[in-house]
Amino acid sequence: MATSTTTLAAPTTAPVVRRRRRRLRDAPTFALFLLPAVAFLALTSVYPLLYTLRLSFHEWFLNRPGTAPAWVGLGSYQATIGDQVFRTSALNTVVFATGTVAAELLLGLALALAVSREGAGIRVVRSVLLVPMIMTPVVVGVLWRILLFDDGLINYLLQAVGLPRILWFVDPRWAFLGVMLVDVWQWTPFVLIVLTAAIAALPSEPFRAAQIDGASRWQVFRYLTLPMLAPVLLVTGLLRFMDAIKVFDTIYVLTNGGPGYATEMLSSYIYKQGLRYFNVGGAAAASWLFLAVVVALSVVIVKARARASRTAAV
Amino acid sequence: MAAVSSVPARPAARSRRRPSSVSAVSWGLLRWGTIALALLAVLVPFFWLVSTSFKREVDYLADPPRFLVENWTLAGYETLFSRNDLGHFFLNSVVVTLASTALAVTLGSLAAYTLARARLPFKLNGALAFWMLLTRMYPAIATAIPYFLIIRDLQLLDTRWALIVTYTAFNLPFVVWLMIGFFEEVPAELERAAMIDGCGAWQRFTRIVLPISGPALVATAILSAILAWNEFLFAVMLTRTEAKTLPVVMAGFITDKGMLWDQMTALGVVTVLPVLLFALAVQRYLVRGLTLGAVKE
Repeated sequence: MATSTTTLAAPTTAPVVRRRRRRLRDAPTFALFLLPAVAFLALTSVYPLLYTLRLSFHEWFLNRPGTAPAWVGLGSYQATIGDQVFRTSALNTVVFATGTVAAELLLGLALALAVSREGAGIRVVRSVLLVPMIMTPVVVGVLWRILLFDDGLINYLLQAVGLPRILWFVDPRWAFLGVMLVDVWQWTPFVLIVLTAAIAALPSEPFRAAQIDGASRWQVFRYLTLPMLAPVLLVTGLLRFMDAIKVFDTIYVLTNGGPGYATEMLSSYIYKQGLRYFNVGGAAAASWLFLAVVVALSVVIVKARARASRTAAV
Repeated sequence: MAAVSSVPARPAARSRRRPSSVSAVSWGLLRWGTIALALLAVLVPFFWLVSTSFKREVDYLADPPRFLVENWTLAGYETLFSRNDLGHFFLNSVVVTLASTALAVTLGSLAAYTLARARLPFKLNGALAFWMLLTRMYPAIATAIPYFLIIRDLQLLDTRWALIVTYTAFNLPFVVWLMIGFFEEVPAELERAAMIDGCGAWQRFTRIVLPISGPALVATAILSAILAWNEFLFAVMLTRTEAKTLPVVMAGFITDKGMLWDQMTALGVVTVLPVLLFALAVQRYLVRGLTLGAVKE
């Protein structure tokens, strides 16, 4: 964290008075350094957030010209919580995030173990495996729309191994699995690079000791690697979860929430409420409900990370 | 810092090499089998993106799909560029990305230097850093509606300025968070000497800290640029026709034009290629940049 132990402003040899004078002399410069960034963020994030909060207590439809926001108290919250589509979106988001993150952690861990040993070509392999994560999400969505097309490559491959074709964008369940598949494809590399770095940072002594004791590969993994990686796995999973619940781009391009509301997520719900139905109050209330959960989660993450950096060698 | 690309061999794994043992052979098979599957899973879709952009309609809509075609064509690219003002949209993406990155890196590194070096009153160092982290983590959609209203009232809808300001705001916390880490690694002794010689904070920052932090600054800038280049939600919300960036144009193909896959994938290649090249250049900083320091290298 930023609370650094580097105490530049306190050289041990200088007398206290001079030290203080120097610190004071730098104070205006530091204030000037800090101010633009803080002001910019206050205007672009804090102000809009408070604006959302204010709007969430009002009813206001942007497509009715000449109307002003009308105070409705908690009305918008009640309406939003009562909205079946909102509930479906919230549930979808949680299922989507949980499922994709679990899959990404499993696959990412397996891959990280496979590429963690140095060897010919491994470097190239690692670079290639990063590609999906860097690709523009909208492009990934379009690409998978083509791949999952009725007569597309994936269905062809399914048929080639004797499985039936799947109508990915017609059947609600397959549509949901489809958007999950795309997320797993794009973000498993993230888990992979974090875990590869974490494995590289593990101390070598326990592994040497285990080898001398004749431990099997499975035992080494189960009783050494896995417990030592546990804190990193937790933090990585939480970070991925935070991003997964925000999913928007690929949904917009792949299914636009359909068929029906099968793949509607919180982000796409709020977007549609605000910018398609122009229901500003409803969108704002949904935003704050969403936000409350996210802030709670980020506090958990910050704590988990503090613990991870204390207990593990990462 | 240990880069992703320089992972030392685990001693336990290295000395376990017993070629005669059955388990070693099957382990090797399992390991390389996993790697091969993963490579296929990444490369086949990517190949599909690139190859479709060079196919004719009869080939890309063929059932069964055709992997390699003899009559490949540049028609997809030609139509894409001639029917759309693609140069303009490409320029939008470039201008918005460069301007927002420059702004975010400048403002962000000044703030990061202060947070790394100055001891602020009221425990502000920790509080501000935590605020930056929260700003980075909350869902952008939560500010989307008022943001749209503010930009509309300022008459900035469908201008590059709207996106430049937005992406600067997105990237500022990211830059601050990353650069705090890098600046803390600069040995304090270097600055202490300069301080005794009477250098103020501005001189120490520009003459000592910045030159040393060059590579870190470049890496941070590239990572911010990638985020800005790929952004879609605010781009689609704040632009209509003039200020559209490449992802918005891409999404537009989905809604209006059905199955123009050659043009869609051609645009995909044009959009993705610059990012891939830059990202590979800063690969070793990716972990740090994308985890916001979840893993200390």
